Amino acid sequence: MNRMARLIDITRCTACRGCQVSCKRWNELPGEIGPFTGSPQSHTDLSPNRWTMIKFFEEKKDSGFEWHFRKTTCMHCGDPGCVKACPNGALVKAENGAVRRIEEKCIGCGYCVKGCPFGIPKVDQVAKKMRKCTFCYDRISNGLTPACAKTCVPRAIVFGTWNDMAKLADERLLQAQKKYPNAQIYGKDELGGLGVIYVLPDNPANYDLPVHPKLPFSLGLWKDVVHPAGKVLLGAGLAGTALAFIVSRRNAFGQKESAKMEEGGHDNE
Amino acid sequence: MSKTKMIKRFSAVVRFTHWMYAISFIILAITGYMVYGSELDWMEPMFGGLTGATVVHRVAGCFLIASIVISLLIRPSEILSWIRECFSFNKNDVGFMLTFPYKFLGIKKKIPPQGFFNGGEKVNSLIQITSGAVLIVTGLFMWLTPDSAPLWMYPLHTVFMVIGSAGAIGHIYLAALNPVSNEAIRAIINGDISEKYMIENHQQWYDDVYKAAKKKEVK
Repeated sequence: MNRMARLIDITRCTACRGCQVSCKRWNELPGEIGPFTGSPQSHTDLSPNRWTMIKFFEEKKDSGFEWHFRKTTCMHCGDPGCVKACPNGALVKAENGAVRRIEEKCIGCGYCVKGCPFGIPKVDQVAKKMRKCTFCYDRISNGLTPACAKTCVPRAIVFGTWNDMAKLADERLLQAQKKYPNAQIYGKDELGGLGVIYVLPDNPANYDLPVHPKLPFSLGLWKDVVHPAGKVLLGAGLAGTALAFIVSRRNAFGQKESAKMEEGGHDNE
Repeated sequence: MSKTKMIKRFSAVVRFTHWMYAISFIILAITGYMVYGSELDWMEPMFGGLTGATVVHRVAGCFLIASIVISLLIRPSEILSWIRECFSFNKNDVGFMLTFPYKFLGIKKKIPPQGFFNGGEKVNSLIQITSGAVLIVTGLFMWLTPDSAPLWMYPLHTVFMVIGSAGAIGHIYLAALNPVSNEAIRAIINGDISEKYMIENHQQWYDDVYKAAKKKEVK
């Protein structure tokens, strides 16, 4: 199956927040009324019941005032830090690119929160479960588009195969550069290619995105080296000890026989 | 069975805290492994699921720390002399370790005179002291400051879990199952060992005690 992706074109987003609503509707997430954030932005951050939201960015430039809106959501990375951080195998990367969570295995430990360079996973401390965007796994594995892409009026969110979206991003970039000379693509090369490819009007740092997202070294060390090696070592230790137990018994019996002949033994049996 | 002279080895406090540590350690190892691997997941219902197991893990951790604190508060000299002796690894201890593979397989070998702790016990103690210290420190950080704990604490916790558990497996085997060395288990259950065992396995310790007794007599 092809790896799927979403193109999110910030230069087209009008902040209607239809994606926020349709995400809630499809995933049956309750509405949450938060405090005033100081701007028309609805909430400060994602939450266990808010898997996507529009973040507002005001920029004062020589050319004038610019106002940009970035849809914040799980990137479904090619090399996901959360999957590496999860100690219980509750996060998996599906063939179609979705980073999925297995409900029964998740215990809300929050390790994924530390492993994610984008601050996406949020832990429901009452239910003891992490929750985040599922890439509408149920929809896309049945040939539908994700709820957010489906509802997007200005076609700022487009869903398709990763290769198609990468190509489309190039086309969109050419259009965007006419208005924003600094426009750039984000997500093609980052972390094994993100499942979200952004077309940004300016530097990623302006929109709360890490310029060079990197997974901490200790994360890979843990998942790829320490974890498997530890299992082998413990298994070998157990097996070696069990073998030694059998050998030692046999040796001790032999010893007892010879000890009897020399009068007296090493124990009182 | 003839009457054998018994020599006191471990005080009641040390024995009690040893077993307190041991039980906590085993519970910690099992509940921790549930998060680490899937081989022990069938035990989850016993602890109230994996979420419950993480709570049990923390409680057992408190007991483990308490066992150290108790022993240090009531028997500081005994604990400190143990630690001091473990860090003074001498030639005879190396000699003991050379015969260790035979001992591990149940073959009795002549050993150079050993002090209160033999070379093997010292190695085991060093493994447990180091891994215990690292596990407690990293574990407390992960528990109490989940948001700011450095990420490398997680692999460190795992590495020393493996080292500590492998050491514990060997320790349990040598103490409880190995026919050559399991006489020593009496010392940590009843607190004493026979003089014969003392001479055979801790010649240096025997000499030290004997000399000290002689000196007293002279005075």
